[in-house]
This record gives sequence, C-alpha cells and structure tokens, in this order.
Amino acid sequence: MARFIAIHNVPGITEADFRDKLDAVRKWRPDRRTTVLKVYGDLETGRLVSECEAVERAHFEDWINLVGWPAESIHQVDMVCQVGNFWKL
Amino acid sequence: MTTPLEDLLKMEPEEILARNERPKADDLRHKQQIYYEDVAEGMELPKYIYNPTPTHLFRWSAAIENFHRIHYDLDFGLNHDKNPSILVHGSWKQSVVPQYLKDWTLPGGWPWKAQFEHRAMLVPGDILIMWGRVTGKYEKGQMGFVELEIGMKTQDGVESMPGFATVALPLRDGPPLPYPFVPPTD
Repeated sequence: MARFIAIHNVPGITEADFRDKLDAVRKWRPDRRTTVLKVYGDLETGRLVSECEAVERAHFEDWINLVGWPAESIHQVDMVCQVGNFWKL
Repeated sequence: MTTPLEDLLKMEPEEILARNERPKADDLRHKQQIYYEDVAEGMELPKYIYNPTPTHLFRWSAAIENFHRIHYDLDFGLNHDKNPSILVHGSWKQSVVPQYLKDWTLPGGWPWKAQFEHRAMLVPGDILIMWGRVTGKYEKGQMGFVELEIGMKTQDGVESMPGFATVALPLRDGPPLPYPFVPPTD
C-alpha cells in the first residue's frame, strides 16, 4: 500500500456537502484497495486536503472522481511526522 | 426465516445491520431445539451481523492479552505495517465460530468440528456477516450429523473466513445426545 495526498479546490463547498460526501462507509472506504484516511477542509476558501492509503495512485483517483472534488495536485507521501513520531513510508 | 445471504449482500449497510439475528442471552435460555429432521440441504442458518469499532478491538486485545499494535494503534498500523487501518483480530473471528454453532445447536445439540481460513484484512467500519449453509446430513449411532459451509462475509461480499463445520443434532424420536458429546467411532 502507498500513501497519497491530494489538494482540492472546491469553491462554495458547505459543511453539508462535506459531510454528505464523506459520511458513508462506502465512501470513506469505497473499495478494499482504497482507504481515505483523513480530509482536512477549509470551507471558507474551498481548499481541501485528502489523505489516502491505496495500492496505487489510480485507486485514489477513482475516489476523487467519485466524490467529485477536482484535485489540483496529487502527491505520494514518503515521510510522515506525527505527534513526534517519524514514519518513513 | 433468515434473510438469504445473497439478499443481504444487496442491501445498504443500515439495512444489513437491522437484519442481525444474533440471539440475546434470554432467547438462548428458552430456545427450541432444532432436530435433525428439521434440517434440509441448502438451508441457511441465522445471520449474525457485527460492526466492530476500535473500542471492540481494544477490548478484545485486552481480554486476550494480545497487545500487537496493529490492533489498536492506528498510527503504527498505517505507517509501520502499511495496513488500511487497525485490524480486526483473527482470534476474535475464530471465537465467533463456536459461539455461532453452539447457539444453533443448543440446548441438546453439539458443535463437533470446524475448519476455516483467515482471509482479507477486516477493519473498523466493516460490516461482517457470519453465515452458514447446510451442505449435507447423515445419521449415525442414533445421532444426526449436519455438515455446513460457514464463513464471514464483508458487506461488499468478500469472504474473509471460508470454512466447513459439522454439528450433531438429536433425532426427533431418538435419545438425547451424550453429555459430554462423544463422536461415534467408525
């Protein structure tokens, strides 16, 4: 599995839109090869960052198409520092 | 009448959860015996539906003193083992099988043997369906034996624990099964 993040620009997104797209299990884990780990939202500006564990990038892109939030860029993550713990992926 | 497995798998998660047929303790205390003659090939057993949460996994880890971090430490599971989340314990799935067979056969029947494989990584949020289907039956030594195909499917139809089991049921006009159960010898 590999880790990816995407930066989205979704002007006008509301809290209801955000919840609706992410609420159901089927959407946070649309299939067994893709797990959407976290989505950060700045709803005022419509900027979102999503984080996904997937076998390959194409699977993440499938999810992005499913939610309909166009990605400005997608990145594969090599290194994480989380609350003081370093993880080399 | 249990919901057929095939139908369950076409339902939305909320509908699947509403079809849980796992009996309460009091139901089991007053359960009517299923006799050998009541069983037919192709018959499906009740479906037990589970929806494990991180709390369930943590409780199981503590209960069996299995402190492998993949079962409760999300950061470790994701970043060290590259798993999709914390993982449901195989030992928990394994514990469901005897409970499931015991519930179906009691008060006078016995689970005799079961074998299964652990497949697929199960994570919190998955809906798990414990299922069984009668594949054969035979009488021996004034006891009824029922052969079952068993498994635990996810809501999206992945079989995570394919297996087989044999249980013993009393004959309607036969003697009680021995206590403790002693399988017949050839």
